[in-house]
Amino acid sequence: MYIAYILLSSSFLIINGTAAVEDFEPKFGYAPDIDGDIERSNKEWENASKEEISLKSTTNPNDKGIFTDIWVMQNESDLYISIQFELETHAPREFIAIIISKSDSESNASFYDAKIVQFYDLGGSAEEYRYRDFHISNGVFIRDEEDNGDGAADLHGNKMIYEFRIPVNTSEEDDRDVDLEFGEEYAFKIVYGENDDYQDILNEKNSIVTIDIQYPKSEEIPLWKKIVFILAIIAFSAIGLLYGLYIYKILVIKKKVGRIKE
Amino acid sequence: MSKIRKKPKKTSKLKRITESDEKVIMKSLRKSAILAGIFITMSLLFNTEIITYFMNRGIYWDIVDVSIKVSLILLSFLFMMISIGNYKELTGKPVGLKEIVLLTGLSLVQTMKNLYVFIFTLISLLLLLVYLYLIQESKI
Repeated sequence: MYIAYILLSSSFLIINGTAAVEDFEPKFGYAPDIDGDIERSNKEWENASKEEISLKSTTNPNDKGIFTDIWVMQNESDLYISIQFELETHAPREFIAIIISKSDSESNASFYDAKIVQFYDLGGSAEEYRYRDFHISNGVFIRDEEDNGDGAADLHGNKMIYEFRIPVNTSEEDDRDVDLEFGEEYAFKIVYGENDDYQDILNEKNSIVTIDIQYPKSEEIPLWKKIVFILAIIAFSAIGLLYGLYIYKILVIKKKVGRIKE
Repeated sequence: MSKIRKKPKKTSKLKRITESDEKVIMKSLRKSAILAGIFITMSLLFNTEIITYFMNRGIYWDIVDVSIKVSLILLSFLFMMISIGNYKELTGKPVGLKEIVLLTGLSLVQTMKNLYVFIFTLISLLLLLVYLYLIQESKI
């Protein structure tokens, strides 16, 4: 089984580390649908920290890179990352890999967990994408038995939107994924590629960011909201009581009318 | 002998309400009270934000949400006003300022959780009261 995973996955060496270009302290927000679509009407990704980075080749100093928007947010259970960029033409086997370090260290050996959204026949009739989860051992990518997290992508004109969901603070014992703990900082390598054998990843465009996983904040309800809530209960109780009283008066009105007539 | 006629007593006015009229008024009173109760209950569900289905889903859904909340308050006000009007007719008294102020106050109290609902309800209630006043005047 283990060998099969190795055969299924491709092996390569991790590219040389580069300094992190952005440090994120993600804000909390509602979980977006991981479908490659940003539904602004549903206020998806509204609270995300949004930055622009450039995915550059480390081997070609003349590479202008791909200007990429990176959005990061989290909630109590997951970290959400969206990668968005425009290209005139997209490669049929385009992919984005998020490779997670065990700590904030950006050395090659520290990057252990890889989440990849891989396209097949992008723009063609058999277009599809797959989300895959790998762990890295001695530079070899090994497919995890279970894909931890979620990933999706969709092309909107020339703009590609990738969305990832990565679980945080999981209690399960899992030596194939980096356990992202609250209050800890981790380095994330964002890699753009155009094939699915991953052999040439040394030349792929990439950038490193660090993300400080935030503790969930206990939401303190403002005093005025509490007061309004109590007043609403009192007001509607009063309305209910008055309505009840009115119904009682309706029930006894015949007698009253009779008395008035007399 | 005085040329000005004495105001007829209330009791004499009451006698003009026939048995069949009384039944019709009673029916109307009960039906409008039940409808008012239904709309008050629905208003409670929406305006206390127990039902939040239309909330925070975008600007168009927010408009739908505010419209529903305002409509429910106005409908409950209207049916309650009709019901109280019928009640007062049976007892031989007109709807007084006290009842109108109380109903308006209770309607506005329901809007306390949303400023937009408050503004639109206030404007609509004022228009509704002006309308009710005018049709009352035209009857005379």
